[in-house]
This record gives sequence, structure tokens and C-alpha cells, in this order.
Amino acid sequence: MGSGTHRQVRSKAKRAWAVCGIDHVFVAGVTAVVGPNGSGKTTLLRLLATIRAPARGEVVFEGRRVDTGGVSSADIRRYRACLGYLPQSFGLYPGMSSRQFVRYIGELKAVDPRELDERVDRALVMCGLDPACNRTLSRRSEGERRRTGLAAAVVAWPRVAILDEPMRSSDPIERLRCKGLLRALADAGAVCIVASSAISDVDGLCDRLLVLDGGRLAFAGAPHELTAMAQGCVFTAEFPSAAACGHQPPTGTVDTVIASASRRPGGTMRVRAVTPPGWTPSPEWVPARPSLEEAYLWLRTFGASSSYRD
Amino acid sequence: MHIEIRSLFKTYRPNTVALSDVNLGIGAGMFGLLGPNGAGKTTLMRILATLIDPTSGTVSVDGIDVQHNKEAIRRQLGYLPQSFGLYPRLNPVETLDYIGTLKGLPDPRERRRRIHEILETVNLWEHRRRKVREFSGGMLQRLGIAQALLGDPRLLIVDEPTAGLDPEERIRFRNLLAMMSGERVVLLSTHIVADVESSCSDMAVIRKGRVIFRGAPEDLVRAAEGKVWHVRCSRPVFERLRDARERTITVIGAKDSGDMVEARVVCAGRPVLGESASVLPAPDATLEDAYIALMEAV
Repeated sequence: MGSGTHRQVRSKAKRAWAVCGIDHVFVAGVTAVVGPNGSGKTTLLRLLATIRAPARGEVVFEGRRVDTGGVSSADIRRYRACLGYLPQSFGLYPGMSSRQFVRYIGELKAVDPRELDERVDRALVMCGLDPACNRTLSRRSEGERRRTGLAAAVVAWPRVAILDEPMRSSDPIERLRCKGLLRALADAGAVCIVASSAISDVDGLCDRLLVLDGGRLAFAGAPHELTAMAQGCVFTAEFPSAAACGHQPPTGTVDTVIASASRRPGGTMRVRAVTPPGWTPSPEWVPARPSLEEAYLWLRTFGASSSYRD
Repeated sequence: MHIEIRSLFKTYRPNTVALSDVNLGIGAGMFGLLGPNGAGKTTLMRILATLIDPTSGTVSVDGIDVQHNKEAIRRQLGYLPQSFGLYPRLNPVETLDYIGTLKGLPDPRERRRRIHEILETVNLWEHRRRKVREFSGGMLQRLGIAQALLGDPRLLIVDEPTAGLDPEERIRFRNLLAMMSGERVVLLSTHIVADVESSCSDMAVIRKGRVIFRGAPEDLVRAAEGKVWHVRCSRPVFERLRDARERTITVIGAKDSGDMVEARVVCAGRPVLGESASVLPAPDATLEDAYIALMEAV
């Protein structure tokens, strides 16, 4: 099935391009959008969800232009009808319960009334929320509100799901449930686009990964392709103490970056470092397989678009 | 520095049990506290931070009872809560100066010297003239740690410090905490298991007010040995596995591989999926895998 969206979008915000020259086809499956804060993730998602109009370029869905600069409003309406969107922050109706809110959105999305209640319950359960809970949203935790928004975004089982930080404030089990939900959506043929500031949110979930940097694409590909790029560049060593490892916190020496530093029970310090290509390790450093997070760190520090110089 | 928590109970009226019979001994170094939302982590931290009293049980820091010697404990304590207020128009020096005065650092010269030292440590000295409202999330968290460090506390309590930080800021922040630990006790509560894995030498998992695991991260990982599997099977088999009513298998991650599915799962024994599926033990169980195995009672 796979709906493809092709876009080349730019958006102007203040004196800088928030998103610049992004050209990407989003296909069925889960695509993660990661990058530093301020790199344009939220702006990109807003453009894809037609909340904002691009200054230049287009958002195209199944061959039809759907950004608000396009000609046909029928195309935009049709796209929005099969779109589920979770913004980063949103005002929920504070006096509604989670169930009432999700049902309301389901109605707006024209879910078949005969199926509505079942779909609402299913969406709530998939997001780890008890459908019988009557607490109003104003009295629920941040994580519960976020998951309510997620349930509302998926209640109509959208063909395009655009989710901005759906797993923030969730504990590991809640995150697992959310990942399962996204996987199920994607397996049913949906295009899922998830922005996250935590690599662990999308590790093991995403089929493709986009890394944004200053509004531009620094990487687009499968997660294993990113880890392959950092292969041979991650080393680990154990030092008798923090001082002995000679690394100033928190950035490492001038040519390496510390990915993690941990005091072991015996008092030693175990360090994992991300290093530039061609770095020759002294004997205490042993090569290690890069995690996705370390590969991301490598890309940000030593990748082609970084300002690192030999 | 050593914290001894004995038979700690905390009940909120009318009958919400937040903590139930918690017994923990915490020594110097970084200690990670994991657990679901609402498990009682924040309640435990607030008791240690002398903000609330337990219903029963004792907490002592180096032999001093926390409940009856709050002032003495507070002098040794630095606390970074989940959300903290800052004055947007002050710069970091002014902010720390203000908080430092409140915290009982009366001598201005000594205060300024300490502020310089701390801002250097958290890498904010170069931004000392910028207003707080211009700070990024990572910079705000570092300023939060700076204020917690003002009295040179021997106990540092940090509640969910990395939520919302981007990957680099998070890595830098947890490295900073790891370097801080030394002779201090740093108590870190977080949802990001990777943070505990990479920087804590000791940890506990709390669920529904009770401690269900206590030990080093590698001990929890060892307990998950034989429970994490790599599975490759057809899509229908995978979907049956995923949607099964009896939750004997928990899917941690899955991706398409041609018309097969490759998945990482947690299961008490070897998953039984039929002949067409390949099932192999996963050699590299992470702390997150082990935490999930523990929580799903696998």
C-alpha cells in the first residue's frame, strides 16, 4: 500500500531558515526525525501536517500537492482527513476525561459511529490508559495527557501519523507500548513520522532515520547505516580514577568525545569515547561496537557536515 | 557519605500508599532510581531532601536522622527537582549569587569565588553575561546543577534531569554528573535507562512503592541472561506473537526484513514459534532489556 510523500520544503522563521532544502520521500513504516533542539524537527513536522505553509517547495501526498500553497483545497482536506497529528504541546480540553477527548477527536475524524466506542477504547488501551478512568485531563499527569493526545492522534487509524515527541515523560514500559502502537500502525501501511530528542525512543523502532542539523538533513537512511558509519570510531577503556583518564568533563579531550563515563563498584572509571576517523588509540583503549546514540554523537561531532577539522 | 533508609513508609491521606517498607543503603557514587511513573521515586527523593516527612521508618545520613535534624541535612544537600523556577532577566552569576545568599553563603567574596568555580565546572562561565531567558534546555539544566552545587553538598539529589534535552546535551549532562560523584552521593531518578546504564554504579528499581531490585546495573543485566532473544519469523507468526492475550513474550523492537520480521523479544524461556522461525539468544542484553524483563515479571 505505502503512501509516498515527496517534499522539498523551506520555511522562514525570524532571520534564519528553520527548515532548508529538505527533500525526502516518506514511505510506509516508521521514520524517526532526530536532531538537537532548534534543528527544525517541530517546524518540519508542522509543515508535513499542513499546520504551517512552506516559504518554498511542496508537500505532496499520493501525487497531489497538499501544502497550503497548493491549488486544490479538496486535496488538502482529503489529506488532513487521513492524517493523525500530535503536536509537541497542545491545550487539551481540561474538563474532559481522556476517553471523552479521544471520542471527540474520533467524531471529528468521521470515524464510523458504529465502531467509534470500540476504537476509542482500543486506542486508549494501546496507549496505556484505562478507558474507565473518569479523571479530567486537568488532573492527570503530563505523561497521561501526552498519551491521551497520542490516542486521539491514532483513534481513526490514520494513514499518515505525525507525532512530535510522543514518548516524552513516559517510563520504559509506557514507551514500549507506544513503540508497539507505532509498529502496528506502520505494519498496516501507515507513514509514521516521529520526532524525538531521545535516540532511545526510536532505537529498535524506526525503519528510517533523519538527522536534522540547523534545518538541513545531515543524514537520511536506515539506523544500521548510521551505526556502520561510526564503526571503528568508538572505543572503551577503564581508568583507575576520573583524574587518571585525563578527560575534562564533559567534553573529552580535543580529539575525542566522551559518550559515557561510569564509576564501577571497584572505584575505577569506565569510559566510552567517540573518536575521529584515523584516530590512533593508545593501548588502554579497546574498540567497541557503536550504539545508535553513539553513532549519532559521532555524526554530530565528526560527520561531514560538522565543523570538526583534522 | 552514607544514607541508610529503614522500613520507610509513606501514605498520603486518605489511603494512597506511596512507599511501602523501603530499605536501602546508599554509598558514595552515582545511584540510579528507576521505576514507572507513580512508583514513588519522587516521594522518596522529597523525603531525602527533607521536603516531606515519612509516615514511619527512618532515614539517616551519616548516622544523623533526617526527620529530626533537617537543618543539618540541608547544609549537606543539593537538590535539583523536575521543574525549578529561575528569574529570566538575571544572568547565571546573578542567579547563583541570589540563591547563594539564600542558602547561607554570606561572605560575598567567598560566594563569588565559589560561583566562578561552579560555573566553570558546568561549562557556563563563557555564558555568564547572558540572561537566563536566552538559555537552551541543556544550559538551564546545567544552571540547575550549579545551584544544587552551591553549598558543596555531599548529597546531590537529581530528579529526571534529562527530559527534553537533546542527545548531546543529555550525554554531556550525565557525564558531568558522573564526574561529580566522587565522594558525594548522587541520587539520580530517570526514565532514560541508558543514563543509568552509562553512569551509575549502583541502582534500585521501585514499583508501587516497593523496591523490587537493588544492585549494580550489571547485576540486573545478568539476571536477564537467557531471557532476551532475537527472532526472525513470518509476519503472521509475528502478529500472533505480538497480539497474544497471554503476555509470555514481550516485543522490545521489530523491523521488516523482506517479507519476514526481525524482532527482539523478552521471554522467560526459549520462545516457541514453530519451525519456520529462527530463534537465537541475543548476546548483548542492555539494561533496558533487563528492566523490561523485570517489570514484565519474566
